[in-house]
Amino acid sequence: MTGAFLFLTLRTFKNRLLSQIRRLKRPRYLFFAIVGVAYFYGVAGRHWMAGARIASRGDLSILPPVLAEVAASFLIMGSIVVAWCNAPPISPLAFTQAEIQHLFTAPITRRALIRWKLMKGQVGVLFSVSIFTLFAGPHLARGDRLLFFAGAWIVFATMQLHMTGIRLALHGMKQRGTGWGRRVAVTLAVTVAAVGTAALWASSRVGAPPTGLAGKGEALAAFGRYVEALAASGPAWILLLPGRLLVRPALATSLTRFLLDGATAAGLLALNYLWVMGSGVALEEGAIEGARRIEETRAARSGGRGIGRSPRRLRATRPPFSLAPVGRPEIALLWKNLIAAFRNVGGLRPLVWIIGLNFALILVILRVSRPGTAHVVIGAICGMLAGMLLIVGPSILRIDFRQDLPHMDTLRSYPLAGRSLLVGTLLAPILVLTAIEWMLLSGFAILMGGVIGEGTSWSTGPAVLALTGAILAIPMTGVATLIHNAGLLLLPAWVSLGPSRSWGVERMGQGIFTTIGLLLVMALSLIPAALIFGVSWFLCSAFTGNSIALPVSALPAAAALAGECWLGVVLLGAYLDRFDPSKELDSVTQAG
Amino acid sequence: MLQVEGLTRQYGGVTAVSDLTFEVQPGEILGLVGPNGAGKTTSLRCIAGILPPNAGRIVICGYDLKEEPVEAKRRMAFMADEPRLFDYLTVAEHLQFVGRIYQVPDAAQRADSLLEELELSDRRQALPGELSRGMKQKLAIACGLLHDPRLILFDEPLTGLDPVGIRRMKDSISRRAASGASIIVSSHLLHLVEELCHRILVIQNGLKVAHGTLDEIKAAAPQLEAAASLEDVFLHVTSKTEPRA
Repeated sequence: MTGAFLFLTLRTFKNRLLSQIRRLKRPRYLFFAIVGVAYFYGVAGRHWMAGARIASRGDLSILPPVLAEVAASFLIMGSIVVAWCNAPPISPLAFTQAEIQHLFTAPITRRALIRWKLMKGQVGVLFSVSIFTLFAGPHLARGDRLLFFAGAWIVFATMQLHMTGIRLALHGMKQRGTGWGRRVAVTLAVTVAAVGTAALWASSRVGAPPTGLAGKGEALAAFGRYVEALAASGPAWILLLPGRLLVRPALATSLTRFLLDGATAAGLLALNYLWVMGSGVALEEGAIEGARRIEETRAARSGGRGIGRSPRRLRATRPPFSLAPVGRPEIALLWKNLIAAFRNVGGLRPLVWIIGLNFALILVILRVSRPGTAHVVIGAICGMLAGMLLIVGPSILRIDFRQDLPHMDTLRSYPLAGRSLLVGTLLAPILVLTAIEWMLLSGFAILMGGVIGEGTSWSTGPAVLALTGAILAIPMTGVATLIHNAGLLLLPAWVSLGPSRSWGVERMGQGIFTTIGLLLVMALSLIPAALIFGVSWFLCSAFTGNSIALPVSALPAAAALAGECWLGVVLLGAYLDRFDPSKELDSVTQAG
Repeated sequence: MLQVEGLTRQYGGVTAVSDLTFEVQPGEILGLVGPNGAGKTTSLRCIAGILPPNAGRIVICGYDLKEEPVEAKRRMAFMADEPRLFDYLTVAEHLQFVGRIYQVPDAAQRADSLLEELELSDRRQALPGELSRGMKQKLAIACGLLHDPRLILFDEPLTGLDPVGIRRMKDSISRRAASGASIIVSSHLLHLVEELCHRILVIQNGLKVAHGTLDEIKAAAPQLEAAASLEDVFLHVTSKTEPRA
């Protein structure tokens, strides 16, 4: 049976690779592939190659090892806590329709199937580790980059297995009737108790952090000794030990050190493997069932062709507004996508959680405290979130072509020009994100404005900054959303489809690859507006103060961005009119 | 109503449809048949404006699909073999949405009547995830018929329907044709095509191999008996065509 699995895995890998290479015959893909490779060589590959030969030290490698180990431990612990609260929707045990049809009915034990899927998942893990090493290696590796790569693989593979184990355990708990609320409450209680105990213990034994040290090196070394003392104090030592043991091989400075530390980390990897494989037949069955449902969900997402339910249990809530039977057809697309957003499809829920919690915090602070540090901190968080949302918002909120591309046949049969289809589809994410940005900017203005010295020139500062941001928010969100959708329409084979992002360690590499590309294009698109803003501000500030110059300068910059948006809509709309789903999508659907 | 001239469509180096020419008159039902991979669905997707043809001209109600795609599509409906629905819109919302896209002033009344006809009235607030395969198919049909199209393209229209649904569907197709709509029905169910269609277009390897009424096609093949069914005709005309190079 191993031979058959090996055949399937290798042939799948080979054919997928060949189809990706064949795709490069198309000039568009070839061009972007060359640009991508050149960029990665420029920012990472060159350093990697140089580093591999001369083992030069990266920026962060001068940190005391304990700091890197503790930081990595915290990351690992955090992701484990999150996974116990809310398991990632896609696991390495997710089966495709073909696998379900051919393998579930074949004379193969479930255990053998799971073992094969876990091994197969390593292909994706290796790709992610490669990308991670390419970027993080030059900064984090303390020894040879290949040792870093091998160490990172142990970390990623162990984490993938651990997450799978958590999924299986969660499935078992669900079967036994443990609900989400109870599970989250217990997880958070255990986490708070453990971290609280460790913190109290450490603060009573270790004391305050060192201060007043001159020189970066001295301060860093002293801080490293302080963290080492904290990490060695009682409960903290126990909490941090698994994570520290796991990441040590990646930070090894020599082959001997790597082998010594690697043996322990490999032991953790083996333990996780045994945990997953030994979870019991019932859990294996459950995992496969769960995986099957996930696959059905995925199929349902990609065009309603699949079997099974919708991605999430949807409820027919009230539409955001009443749609008249005649009028601009773009409004129908806006209405449809807002319904999708409000029915928790396409990423609005996490955004609402983040923003809602933020505003709840603001309200509490406003009610219980006088203007002070808390106002400044929360106000600054609002400002930062507004800024971040411009970049990550269009990536999270996917109520656009990423949601609708699988319905392209239906959309193309509608009596709509490409431009109308594009405008209608992009309206919803732009409106939702702009509304959230304006709320955040209001929070920033209210909280910061109330604190920073009344009567001084800064008393109007936060309000002015917020107003400037609010003017720029609409066109910037438009440009960002347009770029995300242009990337999807021009290179659909490189962007994940569906209303939700793919999850999992194995998808990290691809995520990094596409995100950096999109950010690069967005940065380039902002250059003209930034120049116009700068010139306008220079001219305006000669006659007026900042409180007028900033928002006034934002107007031509916003107009420039709007112009870019309009140009993008015209070009992409024309492209959409010529869009050929059989060339662009059919292979994606088959591959995906 | 529909004129197709020299329609050619290639996928890479493979010609799926080659120089296909035919017409469908108002009130006429054309049966489009052919073996698997003959190019039926590709032809329909080209006519529906989903796939751009490599060559040829498609005119719908006097509007060239390439020159005036919006006006041409406004008069047409395409019912795919698999119902493509938006997971997050209810049955009623699907019809509201399609009504606005096609600018149907009395969409609400028409939707009521269609839902009644298709026995979906009690499922108005249901999401597609709560519908059976047949109900989804009915909803897709309702969406297609809402704007009273003058050209209707059906790709395997009976898939997933129960016997009552099949009967109603056949009646609906006949009724639409009687009211002046041009209809193309692509199906492997030859008895359905024989029963419903006025004329038949047989394609194989992307080429037209027979076109006309059943009697006309039979007359063109003297080897066939007078009582030959469409199945006999189909097997005869498709067996003598050379495979695609």
